[in-house]
Amino acid sequence: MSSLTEILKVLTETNSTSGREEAVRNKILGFLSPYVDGHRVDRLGNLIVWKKGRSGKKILLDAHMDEIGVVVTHIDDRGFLRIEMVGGMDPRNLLGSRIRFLNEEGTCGVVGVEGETQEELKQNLEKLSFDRIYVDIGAYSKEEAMKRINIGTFGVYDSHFENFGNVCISKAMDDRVGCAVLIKLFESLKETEHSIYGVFSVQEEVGLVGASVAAYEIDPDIAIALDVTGAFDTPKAHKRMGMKLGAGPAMKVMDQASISDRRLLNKLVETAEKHGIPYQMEVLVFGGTDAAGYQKTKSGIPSATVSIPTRYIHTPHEMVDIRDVENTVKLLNHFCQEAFD
Amino acid sequence: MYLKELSEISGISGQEKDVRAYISERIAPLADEIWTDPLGNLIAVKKGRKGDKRLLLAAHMDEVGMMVTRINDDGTLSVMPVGGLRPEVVVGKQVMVGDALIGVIGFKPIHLQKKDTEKIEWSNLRVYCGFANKEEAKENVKIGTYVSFVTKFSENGVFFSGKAFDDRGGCSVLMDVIESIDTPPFDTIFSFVVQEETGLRGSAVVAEQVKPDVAIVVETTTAGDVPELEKYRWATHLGDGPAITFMHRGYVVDPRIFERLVSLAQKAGIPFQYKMRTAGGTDAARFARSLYGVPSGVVSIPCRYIHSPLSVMHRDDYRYTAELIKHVVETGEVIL
Amino acid sequence: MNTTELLKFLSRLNGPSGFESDVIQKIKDSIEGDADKVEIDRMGNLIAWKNPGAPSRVGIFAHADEIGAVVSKIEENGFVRISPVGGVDIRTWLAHRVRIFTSKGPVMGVIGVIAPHLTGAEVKDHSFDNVFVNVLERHEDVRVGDPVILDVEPVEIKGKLVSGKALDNRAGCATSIKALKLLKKYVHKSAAAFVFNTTEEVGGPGAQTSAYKLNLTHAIVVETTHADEKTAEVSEVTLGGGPVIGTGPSCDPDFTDLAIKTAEELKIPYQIEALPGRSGTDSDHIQLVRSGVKTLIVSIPLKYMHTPCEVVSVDDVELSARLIAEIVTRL
Repeated sequence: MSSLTEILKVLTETNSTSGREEAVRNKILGFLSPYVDGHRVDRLGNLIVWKKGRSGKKILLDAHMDEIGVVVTHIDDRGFLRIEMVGGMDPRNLLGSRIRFLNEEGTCGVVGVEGETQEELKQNLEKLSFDRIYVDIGAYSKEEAMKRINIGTFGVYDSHFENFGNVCISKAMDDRVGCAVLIKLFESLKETEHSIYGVFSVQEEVGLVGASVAAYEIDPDIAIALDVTGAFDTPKAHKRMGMKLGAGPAMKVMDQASISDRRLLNKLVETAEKHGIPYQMEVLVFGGTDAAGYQKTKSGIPSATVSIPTRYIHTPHEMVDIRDVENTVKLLNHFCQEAFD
Repeated sequence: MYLKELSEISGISGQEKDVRAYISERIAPLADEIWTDPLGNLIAVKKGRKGDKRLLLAAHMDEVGMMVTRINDDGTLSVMPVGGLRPEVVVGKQVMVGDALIGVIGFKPIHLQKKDTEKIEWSNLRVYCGFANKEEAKENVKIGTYVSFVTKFSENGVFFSGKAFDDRGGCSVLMDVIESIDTPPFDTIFSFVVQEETGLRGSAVVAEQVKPDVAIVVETTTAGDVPELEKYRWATHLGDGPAITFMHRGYVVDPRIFERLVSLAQKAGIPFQYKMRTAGGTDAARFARSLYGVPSGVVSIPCRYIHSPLSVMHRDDYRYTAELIKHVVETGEVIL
Repeated sequence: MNTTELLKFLSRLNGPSGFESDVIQKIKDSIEGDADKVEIDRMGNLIAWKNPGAPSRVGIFAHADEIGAVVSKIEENGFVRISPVGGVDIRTWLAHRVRIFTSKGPVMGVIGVIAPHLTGAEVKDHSFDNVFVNVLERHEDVRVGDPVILDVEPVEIKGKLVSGKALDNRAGCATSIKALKLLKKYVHKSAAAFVFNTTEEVGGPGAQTSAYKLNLTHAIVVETTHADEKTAEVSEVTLGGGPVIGTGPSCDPDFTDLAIKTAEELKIPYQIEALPGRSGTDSDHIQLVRSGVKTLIVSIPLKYMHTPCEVVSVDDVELSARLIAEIVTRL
């Protein structure tokens, strides 16, 4: 049994953008297979695992496997690449960091900014867009570059996992931390009254693709998405939100894509209070989670989101507090037993 | 090839009936089953040799255009766009209001314009049909009437020019393919869908009716090979064959399908290019979100100046796209 | 209850998207005797059946939710920050009382505006980022996620109009309720499901999931639409000019024709509204359910949409109810 930080390190350091989830799917399955009754990979690539219960009730728990990234769209005559974003990536985060491509050699690229005059460079930096940046992989010609990399090759932040004190920092905490919660949860589940389905979904970052279809054949009674949410306990952070690192899992009331089912949310809060698990309430004024996909499946699945407060989301340095992660596992463990009481 | 005839039919999103009638009449004798669904999608099935898998092909019948929103006191009509249409491209055009009424979209003469005040925006544009006043206009035009372009098709040298190539090009390719194939290996569904331009709408109900295993969207996509755009912003260009998509808005194309399309083209010696921008979406994003999730691919004919009354296509790109799609159907290799 | 009273009753109910259970329950109580079967589904939608079991199935959808806000952050000394649920122009909420619905009952707050003496010449445009609620009582009960609703008492204007909050779409709900009551007296072949659905204002799952469950052939979406606006972006619609029938890609052309013919036959005044792209109503979602649903949009003209003083005409509601009931009998 691997520790939470070991799992987090492996998962966050695995490079898998939206649409290229095979690598991380294999890692997740490696951790999980001893603890589940079965698994399958659906047509879109969602990994679905389960533990069968006796009651006939089904609980679906979801975390998305993919991470944001970039994709090569053009290679010029001198071997420089042009890229576009995969999911919500801010090009400013690419300056001063490296890109690791998902090709065979794992090409490393650095990002430069166009500017034929100092004034133009300044302007381009101020209004940075993917149209004004290029990637340098140290190739001197189109031919040389094409031998190493192709149009359509995906890439991610080149960043590594760190753990000190209670915090962990890495790229792709969004949402490998949710995946790690699910892995630890299945490890900790003994005999279950209700059937528990874990969905590790694909292509969340490009628009909830996997979660729009994953429940189609499962028909669960309820669904909970596990995802990161912004922590705004930093200097001069967003005025209208107060989620904090280290204050426990966040019970999402709403974001821009969904409003959590009230009964489900109340049950989650009740479960946390009953077992003395710290928690906080969350209203996120932007963003969305897979819960929006499950809500709209067929006749509708009552759905909610439980979030891990995270600083610096969608940068190479997403920060979580390990105690929040542990408390989320605890909360869900109790919830899986008591959801329908 | 039916591009000329198809492009000259008017079929704005929600009003595809004439396009549908044209296609249906020609392919009905070739299909094992054919029907129009509640939204207006035309779906034709060609049975395969093996019954176990189903390949869905899709092209959209609708085009961008306009709709009458108000009848003004001076007898002119106010319009708003249907689909992604910019007001700049409709100024100074003749248009068809409904089935038979000709109008023009004029603009304030340059002599009378005041600096920076006459912006070209929808609320400033009027369709003039010669009515003297509101009453006369009301007798002849209803609110909600569609207003379409009237551009005639033309072939000059290697180029086709005309309106609505997006996506009558794809419709024409599907018609060519259904005409030229024998029994395909898998059940193949040719769908001509409605309302793509207003948000990938018609395609949302197709999978439910045919339960496909894989979908291939045949589109007409933007080409940027003009002097005002740097090469890396072209997306596609004319003359090098169909564009194969690895990712677009809202969906990363299934890598297995993407790679099989590429290798099919390579093996058959059909020229192709990659779609080199990820902006814009296609019905593939809908199919991936339908039912249990239908893995999808996208093949497009490059075309300059789409979403305007006049677009330009290279005849070889059309021909190679039709060849590739025929090959896709005949080999069945995109079935996973 | 006459139509004016019904409109006022519905306007007073509080239920922003995601928090509709009270509205749904109260509507349920008010229609209990009028339907053959009434149920609340697992997404919180209320469904009232007439003639269930008939093969052709029409759904009549009116969304019961309203725009509103939620508490998104607790500040010190009894102040809270709020964030919108649906399309709220917070500038129309200034100097209004609001109710915050806490788990221990409602508490009163005000959206205060700082006096000009203190702001000086430089007046900032108000937005959710600089507006706050001053909680007047039991502020310790207020938590992040509690819904916030305007405290506005509806009024009658000139005897024929009603003004208040949430008439988008409680005017639609009133129309549906009236149509249901009329249908008691009519004979009709098709099964009619009157759905009072949730979460329209946030593009939520309410209407589409119930449409899936009901497995419909037809759907009538009962909504409100902008009245008396002059811009080319919307059609000319007059308050008091009768029901508004939508036309465009999100409406089935034959079903729309049936509505127009019915209105003409019964001499019900009607207006036509062009909907060139998405309609912005639940029809956009209902139409795409399963193999596709034939949709019709009937709207009540409404002035000052999404403000605390929306205005509708009682006549428009009554005529629309009659039109809808008549359409159902013709299916």
